[in-house]
Amino acid sequence: MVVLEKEVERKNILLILKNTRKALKTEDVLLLRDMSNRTIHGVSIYKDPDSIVIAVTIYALSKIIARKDYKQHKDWQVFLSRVSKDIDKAIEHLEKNNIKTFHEDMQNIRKAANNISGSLKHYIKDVFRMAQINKASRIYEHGISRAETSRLLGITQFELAEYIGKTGIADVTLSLTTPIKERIKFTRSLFT
Amino acid sequence: MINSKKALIFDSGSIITLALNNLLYTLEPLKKAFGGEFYIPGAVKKEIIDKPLKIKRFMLEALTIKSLINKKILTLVDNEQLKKETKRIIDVANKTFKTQGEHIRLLHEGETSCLALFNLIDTKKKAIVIDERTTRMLCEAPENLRKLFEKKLHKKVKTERINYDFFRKFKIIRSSELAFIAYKKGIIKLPANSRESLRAILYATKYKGCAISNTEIEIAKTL
Repeated sequence: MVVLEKEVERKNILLILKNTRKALKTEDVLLLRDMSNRTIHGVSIYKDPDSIVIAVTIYALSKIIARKDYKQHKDWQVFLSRVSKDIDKAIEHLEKNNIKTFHEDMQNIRKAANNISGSLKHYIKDVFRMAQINKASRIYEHGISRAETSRLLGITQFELAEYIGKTGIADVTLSLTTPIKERIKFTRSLFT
Repeated sequence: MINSKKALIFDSGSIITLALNNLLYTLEPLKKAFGGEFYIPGAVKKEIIDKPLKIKRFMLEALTIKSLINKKILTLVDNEQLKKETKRIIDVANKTFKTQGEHIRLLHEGETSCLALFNLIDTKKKAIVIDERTTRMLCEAPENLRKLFEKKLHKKVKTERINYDFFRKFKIIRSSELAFIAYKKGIIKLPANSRESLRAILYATKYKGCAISNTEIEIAKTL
């Protein structure tokens, strides 16, 4: 299902985008992360592509804003101004319920890195890729399978495996099922 | 039905864990020690060979896995019967939990095709080697999965309890248990005592995505 078809969800995403705009102006990294996390529940339940794009984009922006050294780059202001304009447009089009143009605006935020040069361009592209993996890990943490999560975020299971291995997801008490002694006993029985 | 004396069915994650730890070489001697077949469904092949072959960073792993199929260490199963059974199971799995009027689509074709293949293999000595926790929880502790959804989504989650029984029959092991056996059978040799070696091996599987807990590792190293 498409989340934006629900009026309450459309308003929720509008609020998230307005807060994102505010957080970008004030360089509020924590607010950006909070806004990104708010969309994850929607992704887990509805598998909504818009929620995925928004979660990844805002998380990536939070990582980019957090890096002070990149603000010295000559193209930094160009990038920031382009992103801010695209967020303004996305808000405007979503308010008018113009979903198709809203999708283009969201895509343009990611493409903003194409207009800049050198290391900043590569850094921003890497951040977006890492943001996809981070969000995939969060969805897996919510109880969705690894393969389904990889499909949703458009990443390989190899990338996700390396990332989730470093998290504490496997240590959550609810994840513990058959006791290890029993599982090893069963495995040994298969090999005899 | 597939006739096999013994069978292990591999999901993507378990092969990925072995590949990322350079432990794929253990599969050939493990298969000999097992005395049965090692299967992978077509949907899993897509995840561990076809997709990563297009990514420079994982091409080597994909090709190494492909060589295991070429050498018939892993047997590929991809037929209409499997696809039909996969669809039947995915429909049940993805209609087990419901929140806010929506079913939670929790499984993918990859994991589900392993469950389907398990049903199609005619032997009692069989298991699925799966490292990710969602499928394992659905089969072994579905109520824990419902509680996890509620905790993470902050929403009430309803369940089709009749489906719990449907998944109870599947037997699951992980790459960590396989690596444990590989060490005990002398396939993996390390310059350390048993406890240290097992600790190293099991943490290596954990850090490459196998859903095994610290507590489980600390118990396993003493066994």
